Amino acid sequence: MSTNESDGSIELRSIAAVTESNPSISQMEEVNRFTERELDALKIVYPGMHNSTVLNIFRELRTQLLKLKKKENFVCMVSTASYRGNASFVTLNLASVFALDKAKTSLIIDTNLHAPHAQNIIFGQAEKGITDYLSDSSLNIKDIVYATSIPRLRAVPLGTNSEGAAEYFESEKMLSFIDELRTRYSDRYIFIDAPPVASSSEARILAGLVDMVVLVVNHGSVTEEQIQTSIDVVGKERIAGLIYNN
Amino acid sequence: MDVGQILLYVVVIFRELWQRKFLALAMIAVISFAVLVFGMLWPSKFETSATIHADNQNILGPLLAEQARQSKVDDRTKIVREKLYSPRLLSKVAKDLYGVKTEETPISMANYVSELRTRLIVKSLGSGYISVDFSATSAEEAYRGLNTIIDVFIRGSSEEQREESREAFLFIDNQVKQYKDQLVGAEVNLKEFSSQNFDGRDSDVSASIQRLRSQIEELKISIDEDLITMKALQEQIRGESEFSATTIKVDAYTLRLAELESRLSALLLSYTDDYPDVISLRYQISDLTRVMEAAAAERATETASRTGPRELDQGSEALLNPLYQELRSRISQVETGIKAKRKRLSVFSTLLEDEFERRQRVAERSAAKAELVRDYDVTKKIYEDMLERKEKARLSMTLNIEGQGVTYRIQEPPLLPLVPSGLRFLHFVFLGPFIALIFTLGLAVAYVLVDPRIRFSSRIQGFDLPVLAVVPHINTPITKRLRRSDIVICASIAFFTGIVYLSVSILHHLGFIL
Repeated sequence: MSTNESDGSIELRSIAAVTESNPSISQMEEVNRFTERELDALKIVYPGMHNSTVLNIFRELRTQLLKLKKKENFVCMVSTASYRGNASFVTLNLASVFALDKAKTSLIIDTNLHAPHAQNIIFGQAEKGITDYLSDSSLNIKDIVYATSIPRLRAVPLGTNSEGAAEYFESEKMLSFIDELRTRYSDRYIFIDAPPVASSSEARILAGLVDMVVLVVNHGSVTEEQIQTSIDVVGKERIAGLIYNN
Repeated sequence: MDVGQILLYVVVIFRELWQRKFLALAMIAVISFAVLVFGMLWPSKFETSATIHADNQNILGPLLAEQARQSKVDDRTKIVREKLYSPRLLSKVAKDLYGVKTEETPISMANYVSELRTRLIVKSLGSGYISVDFSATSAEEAYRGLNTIIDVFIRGSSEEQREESREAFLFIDNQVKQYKDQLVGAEVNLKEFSSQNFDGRDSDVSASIQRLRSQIEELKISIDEDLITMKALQEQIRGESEFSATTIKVDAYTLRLAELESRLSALLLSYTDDYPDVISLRYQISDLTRVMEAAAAERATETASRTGPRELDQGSEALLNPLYQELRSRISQVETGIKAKRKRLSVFSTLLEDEFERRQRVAERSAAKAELVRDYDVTKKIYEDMLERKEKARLSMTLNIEGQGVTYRIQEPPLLPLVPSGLRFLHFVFLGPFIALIFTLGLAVAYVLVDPRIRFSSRIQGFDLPVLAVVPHINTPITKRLRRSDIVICASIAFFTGIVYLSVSILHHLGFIL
């Protein structure tokens, strides 16, 4: 990395810091993008990245998922077989790679109760999340969908009311929420960052609401039995496939 | 497992190690130092070796051949080993080497002996050569120890051998004496038996019986003959009268007549018939003839008138009938002969019975005698054999006393070892990190192999679900930096540990530590 680039990134970062004071959805000008350095630090793929194989792998993944749904937009839940699985990384990159296409947008719903991740990419400070929305009828969808520092990528954070999340996820409101998110824009692809299916009732409930489930197998953290249990819990027909994450 | 798979494993193992790099480093360091300390405490081992030659190839060998028993060389190694390992020899050696220390406690001697035994190795090099190895913690001790062992062994074995063959000789000598006594006893028994037993042999008895029988037969025949003779004689004597008086008169005339006729014949040879003497003689003859005729006539009348037994004529000269006499004497002769023969017969019969009795006795005694003879024969045979052996033993003893039997010669004397053998401190210095690395790596390999968690993307292909992607590990700049700094830290830790390790080793080698 040259000094010029690093200087530039510092400049951009200062701009982002300025706009951080007002993190409203209406101000989604998407100018405060991540620098390459920040993307690298967050392990987010971007065109022209140093390690192009990773980008190509995610592009290939995108193609495969699109093929499954015949170019319709879909809701995909990304889960793991154990807590040490890294679903957030895959979710983020999947959403990013979908958002690379200028004709598509993507949305990340962070339901990972144990390790919320959405705040890392949300531009500014997120206050309300999906749990708030589900428990508080006064909140609007717009209030919980945040812009991110990645173009064409939105995110719904977990929110502050994570107790009783399972019950909220089971509610009619959750169903209509997802439905609405999907149907409002036909070019929006929704990715749910979920906790491990085998050990979390929330994830199991969510699996029943989505179009497909992608199971992430992290290197050296999952046994075959755990994978099998996860597959059995979700149901084989709902699983789009496995992703091995080194 | 092909190369690619091995490479995959290597990568995975290295990744696991890298995740626990500080633990791994600490482990390597601890194990290395543990081995180093072990090496410091490891007693250095000095080994020295000597070769003994068990020799019985001497000039006497072929000369004596079978006459003297010489120990075989083949058994020598075994014997040497047994002797060298024997507590007797080792305790002698221990006493020589350690002196009073062996008597400190009751078991200290046993401890020294067993320690010496573990440090001693006896090997056969073939054809009578035996190598004896001895190890100790110092060169001096090894050298002194082996020297003492060999010395005690050589001295002890020659003494022992002499003692052994002397004992053997004494034993055989003693045996010979015993057998001699036995033999004499058997001889005495046999003699006594013979002296008490005059019956002679079976064949003697048989011969004598045979002889007696034939004699009895002959006697019987002779008696029969005599009886027949007597019968004939008695018949003859019946026809003859006891006396013959007339006959005697006639006989006197006849005798006179014969005398006269013979004188006449003699005269007629030189004279003619008319010679007076011849004429006179002729007269006398005719007279005599007349007388004789008259006498004959008289007798005839007498015989006719008399029928009774003849008596001696009264007044006439009583002449005994010579024939009768003759017959009588012969009859009595024959009678006495028969009597004598009968007596002999009875005596012979008694003798024959005696002989039969004797034969019985002989048969009874021959069994007893056979036993005695057998006893004697066996004893004699053994005695002779023993006598021969005794001579052999005497020769063997003489051989050993002269030092001509099996002798042990020191072929290669023990040398003072200059360099310790076996594992030395230097080996441990090199071995420490090596063992630590191998152990840590092995542990990592075992962990990867045993841990059921999936570390290979190929393992998730068995779930009947598509594998959508295999995402490689992504390093963020921070992790890259972290890794770089980790490498530097690890390298410096390793470097400093190495320095400490080496300096500890050198200090130990120079004698500053431990």
